Amino acid sequence: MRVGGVGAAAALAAGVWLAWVLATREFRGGRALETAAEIPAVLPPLILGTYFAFALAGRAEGFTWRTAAVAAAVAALPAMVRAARAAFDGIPRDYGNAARSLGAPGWRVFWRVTAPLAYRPILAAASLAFARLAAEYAVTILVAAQGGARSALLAGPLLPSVGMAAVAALILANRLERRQVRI
Amino acid sequence: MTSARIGKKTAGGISLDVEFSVPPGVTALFGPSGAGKTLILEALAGFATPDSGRILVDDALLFDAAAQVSVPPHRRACGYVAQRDGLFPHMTLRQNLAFAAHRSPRVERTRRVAEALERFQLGGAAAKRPQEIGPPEKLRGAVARALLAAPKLLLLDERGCGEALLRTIREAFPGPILLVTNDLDLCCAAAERLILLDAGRMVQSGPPRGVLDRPESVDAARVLGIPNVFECSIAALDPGRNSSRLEFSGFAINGPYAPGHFRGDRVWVTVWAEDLRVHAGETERRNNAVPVELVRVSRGVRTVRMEFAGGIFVDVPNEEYEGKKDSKSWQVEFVAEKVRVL
Repeated sequence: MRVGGVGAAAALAAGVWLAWVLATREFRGGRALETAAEIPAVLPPLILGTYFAFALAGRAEGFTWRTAAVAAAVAALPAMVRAARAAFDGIPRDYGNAARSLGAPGWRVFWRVTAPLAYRPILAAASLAFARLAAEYAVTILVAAQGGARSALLAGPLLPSVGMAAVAALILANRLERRQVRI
Repeated sequence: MTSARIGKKTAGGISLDVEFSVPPGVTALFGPSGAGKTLILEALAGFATPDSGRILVDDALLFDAAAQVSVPPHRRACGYVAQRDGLFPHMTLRQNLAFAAHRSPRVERTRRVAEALERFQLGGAAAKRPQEIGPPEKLRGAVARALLAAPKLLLLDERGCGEALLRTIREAFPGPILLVTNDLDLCCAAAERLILLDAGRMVQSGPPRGVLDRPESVDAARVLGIPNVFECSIAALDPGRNSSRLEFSGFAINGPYAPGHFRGDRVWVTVWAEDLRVHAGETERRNNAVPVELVRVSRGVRTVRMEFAGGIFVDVPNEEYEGKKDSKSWQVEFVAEKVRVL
């Protein structure tokens, strides 16, 4: 849960920021940045995990929940960027233009206009990401326990809690999407 | 002083090249779709960056391409009401107005919002969200919100603006207003100045009545929607009688004296459709009238547009047409004073 929660939160923060920059600014390297953010999505989790393992090989901290959370955040980043970008692009330009014409600088436009209109689909994506990350981490733990009695011991508490997290996340995502403000 | 010189080429094919000033009062921008009217408003508001030019609002420099000056939209003090009202859907109307007055202290903000709600007759809709109110209230709400931000220039890209609303706006805001409209009646009733735009260029500008009565070019006549635009030659000139003889292919009429022209010159003339007279079933030829064949009839709400051979269009009231519609012979009379030589 900790890995999933921290990973999803980090992916949410980074994904929203990156999506906001890509949606509102045109700059050299923008397309390259957008493509780079998608790379973790095309890599199977095993390959992504292997990259992290190589990066951590020989380091004192090794594989801890913190490094697992970072890996989880990287894995969830593409989905968060996509969801946030779609949410921002779905808001008509007229609202941002109206806010700016009323004297609102960029941060005020984001907090008072864009975020309230976009947060529901973004949070829905974040909750699904959390459930997915928690489940993938649980599978990883079970596989790493290499079967047998140890896996059976871990499966007891892990599987029900991961299942409940997935269901709760789905329910939250559905409710958020149903209550989306009509634009 | 508020003035603008804007040059811009867009990916959509609009090539804008205009220069104009906006005095206090209403200046109307009129032209066909794609003429660049909205682009002008967006350039003034800072949502589109011109390729060249200079923009001054109340003597403050907002944009200068040569000096690379471009003030961001939130510091331009240009109130902007878009075609789509832009009221924030997650806020009530009162909250929308309060957003515009955010720089005022709380007590002052509450007072100004209450005043705006009363002035624009929005008290009943104050607690509702934009999705719950009708288009007229939404438009008044968007205008009230724009004025609460204390703009120095008001940009209205709103085709639904009526005379009554413009009057209310003028009472609340004495500064310059640039209005995009496709209502020539509104221009005459409420605007001090009319700018005709076509394909990104200013075709004519001036007091609305003057522009409508005296289009200066074929382009101006076409933008105004004058259907009768003909080429002819000047057969005779009589400055003493303030008249001239104009020869078209197939007929000739008397028109006004055309100073600056000579006999034999090829000129263009225009006449509004409602300034021509239709006579039905008469055997004798009227003075300054042309026998014509009726080609087509289009019925409107109050008038009927009759199209005659030779591209002559005449608008008559429904009742007049009903009394003449069964006629087999027609004459169209040109009233000399209403013929305009371009």
